[in-house]
Amino acid sequence: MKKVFGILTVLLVGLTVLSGYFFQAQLSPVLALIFQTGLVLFSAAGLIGIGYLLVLHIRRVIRGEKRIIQSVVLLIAFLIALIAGFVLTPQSTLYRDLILNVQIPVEASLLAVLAVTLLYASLRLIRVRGWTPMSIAFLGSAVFSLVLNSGLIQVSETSLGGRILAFLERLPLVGARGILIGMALGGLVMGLRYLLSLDRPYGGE
Amino acid sequence: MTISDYIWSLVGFLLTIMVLSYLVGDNFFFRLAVHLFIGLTAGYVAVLLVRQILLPQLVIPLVNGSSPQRFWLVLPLALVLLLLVGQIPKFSAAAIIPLAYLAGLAAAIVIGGAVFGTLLPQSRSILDAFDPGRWYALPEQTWLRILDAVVMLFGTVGVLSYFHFGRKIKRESQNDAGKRPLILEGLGKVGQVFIGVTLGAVFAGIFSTALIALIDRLVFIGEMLTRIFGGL
Amino acid sequence: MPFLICPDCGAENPLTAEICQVCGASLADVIPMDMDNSEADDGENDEFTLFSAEDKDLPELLNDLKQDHEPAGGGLPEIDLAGEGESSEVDDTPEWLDVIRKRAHEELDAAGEMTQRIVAAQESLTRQNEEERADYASWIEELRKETREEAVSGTEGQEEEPLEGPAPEKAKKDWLSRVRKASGKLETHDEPNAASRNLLDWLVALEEEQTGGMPSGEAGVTQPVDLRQRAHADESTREVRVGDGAQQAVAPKRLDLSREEREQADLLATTIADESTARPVQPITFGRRRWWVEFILAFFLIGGICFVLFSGRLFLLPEPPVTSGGQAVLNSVADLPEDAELLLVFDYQPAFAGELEWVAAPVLEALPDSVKVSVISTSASGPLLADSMLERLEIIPAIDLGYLPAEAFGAYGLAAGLASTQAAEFLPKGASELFEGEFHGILILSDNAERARVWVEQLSVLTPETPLNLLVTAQAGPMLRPYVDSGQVTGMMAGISDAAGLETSRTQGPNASQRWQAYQVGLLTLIGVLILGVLLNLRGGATQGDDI
Repeated sequence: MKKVFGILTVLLVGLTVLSGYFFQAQLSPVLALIFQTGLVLFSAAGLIGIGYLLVLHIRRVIRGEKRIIQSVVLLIAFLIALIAGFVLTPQSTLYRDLILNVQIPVEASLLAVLAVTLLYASLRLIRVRGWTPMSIAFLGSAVFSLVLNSGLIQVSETSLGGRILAFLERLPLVGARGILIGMALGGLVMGLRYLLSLDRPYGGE
Repeated sequence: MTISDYIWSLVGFLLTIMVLSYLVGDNFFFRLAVHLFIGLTAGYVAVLLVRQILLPQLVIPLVNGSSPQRFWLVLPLALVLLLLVGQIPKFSAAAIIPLAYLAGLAAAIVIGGAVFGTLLPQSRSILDAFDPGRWYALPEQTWLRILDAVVMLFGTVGVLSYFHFGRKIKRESQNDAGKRPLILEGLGKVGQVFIGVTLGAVFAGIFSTALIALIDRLVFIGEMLTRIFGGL
Repeated sequence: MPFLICPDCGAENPLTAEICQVCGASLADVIPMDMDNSEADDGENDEFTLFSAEDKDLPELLNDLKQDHEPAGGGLPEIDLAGEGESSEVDDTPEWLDVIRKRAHEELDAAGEMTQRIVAAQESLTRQNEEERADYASWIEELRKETREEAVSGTEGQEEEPLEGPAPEKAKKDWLSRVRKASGKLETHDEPNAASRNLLDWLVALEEEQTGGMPSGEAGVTQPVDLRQRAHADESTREVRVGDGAQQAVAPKRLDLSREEREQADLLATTIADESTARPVQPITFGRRRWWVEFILAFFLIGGICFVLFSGRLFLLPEPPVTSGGQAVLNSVADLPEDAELLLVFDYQPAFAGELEWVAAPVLEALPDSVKVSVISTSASGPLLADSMLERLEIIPAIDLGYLPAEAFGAYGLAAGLASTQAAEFLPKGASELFEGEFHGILILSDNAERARVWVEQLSVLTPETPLNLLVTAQAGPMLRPYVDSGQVTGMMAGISDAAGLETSRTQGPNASQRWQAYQVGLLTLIGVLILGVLLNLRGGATQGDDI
């Protein structure tokens, strides 16, 4: 019985939204309601996810498991952000500085570490992948893109060199288009499987 | 520079050093910085969801809103309650309907976007490249445009041929050319090259982005050190 | 009184019986046997012994055994059923024994079947307890008495003697009793039919001694054999069974395999089990990760960047170019009408804040002052990043549409709202504003090709007439170019390569040139490392165990 409810819900919502692509004007109020409900549901789901994260770390603290200090720090940081957010509001400059001056250094530094890691990976590229058409094309394209990005080669677009350069610059576009079409086909199949309830990620098996 | 700016800069500096210490190896300070980041972000997101969406979109209209608003809010309220109740293991079946709602919504958005947003326009673009009007728009570039159109068509088909839609790739079948038509195998080889070209460009872009982040961090550290030691 | 001897189990059955009362075999073709008359013919024996009445019936072999082959210590006389070895017994064996031997050689089953049945009967008899044996002994004694009484009535001079006694006749009886005891499981008794019974018992005992155990042959015993002969063929005979063979449970059939067959079966089972066993996959290793190589590379990269950044010098490196992508976005923004409404979508993570500020700054600075800017975020940090960037650029947003979770959903909601023609009055304020908006242009700031793709898909379908421009990081650029090429996106700036060439003196600050040159040095370092990697592996690649 619960399986039937799930299937009916998926079909009803999915078909209505799909119809909205064709009958936008006529279905506007219904789509607005669906959007409104989805907005609230996504937010509730996000809060539930945060709750699971907190429960995990609280359990770790209570049981005295490994790396308890990190969990305590996490919980304290959460409480500070939560209380400050309700007291100061997200529009407050102080609150904005509190959040961004932790997020930006940490995330940007993680990205900076990636630069060194990519450098090391570049050295081992051929050793790992070998001399295959794909690896040769990869290498050539990477070097060409890096040269172009660095501005070392600057030619007029109307010249022959410029046109050849423009042609070579469009080559990644070919593969990107094929990948995008492939991804779209995969997304289409996946979406249809969800709508037709061939796959039920929401349960109801 | 105000005191608060100085304090925040110091916090940022310490966090930057703690995370960059990962270059040496995984360590306590790195994990501490990451956990601090996660906790702070989780708290901020909780505030954002409650203050920006749940309160103004659900709670306040239910309390202070007009009758039509309250009536139409019964549906989202019911689904949210079902979702919450469904977290109790005994009543996990209650979460099926709200999750099915989200799944149906996501599926429809993905289908609509994939078909009307990518498949049709991109396919049209490949066909439009064979428009003679475009070839002769710039006479000096006609052959280049024809070449571009042909390469685009064969390259795209080659990339799609490289993907095995629904077929399980078995090690033994990779050597067995008899399984697929030769033309598909040949186009697949061509597609491999174009995929390599695209991924090379993506790799260059990723490194560029990471490099800019590294430059920004180094500039920040330099400025902080200058302030710290310059003030002495 | 004549009897019907069952051809299968040898049990005595009355003449009226159609099937054997022990094993159920058909007695249709069985010739009745009159044991009493044969006993009467044996009247010359004065004493009753086991063999007394059947001296005539006993084969000469048995007589020889009695007289000549009695072992000193008791026990069974040895007879080679297989017929091997020289023995006077062979010459003296009766024809029937020869036949048995031959059949044992030629038709294994023949002797095996018989002995199997006999052995099965032995098994059934082994289950009896001491009390049953005691009862049986008393019954034997009683039967003997009866026999003797009949003999006395029919013959002369029969003496009743116990089975075992000190007299010379007792010696014979001792021998016979030893035979009985040696056979162990069967007890014989003094009856007219004892001869055939005893012979069978003896054969069984010999067979056991020869083979050392149960003979292999047919599966199981199909029917129990009750070798306890009945009392005399007298209608008043009572049937005393020691261990009710007829009612005993049939031994379950079992599959007897030879050793070779068992080994083959075991091998097959092992092979089948081993086939599905998980085997460890040997991982391919391409050398250990050398920390010192990574350290040297990091040193060169960071050192080169720091040198360019903090040395204060300008090196002879090209200035950043003005790209067509960047110019297209600038032109699109510049073409906005007076009092236009522009929507800024902030959809990136804090890690990319530096790059996107560098990319977006030239475009946002070029906005006419009359343009009204609305802001919406689909990343969690978006509202904070938008505040930070716009404050730095001194742009004040006219409308803040807040935060929408889940990029695809938010994109769809915005696009659907923009495409709607009806106001949804029943909706709360925030959502209704979304559905009432109308914009002359949309600028999407994104760090991720996947998220930007979703925006492009939804907006290009639902609001195709609204110009759409992308300001993205360098990593997102290559995968979004098809949308620019297909016309779904008006213009795109990807990374600082597209933005650096534009006039951005105000926001990039005095270090703009140094940062651009540091960027160039970093890219050149990667180019050098890629070429070095190629040169180091010109011989070949993908070898295991090699270190760099």
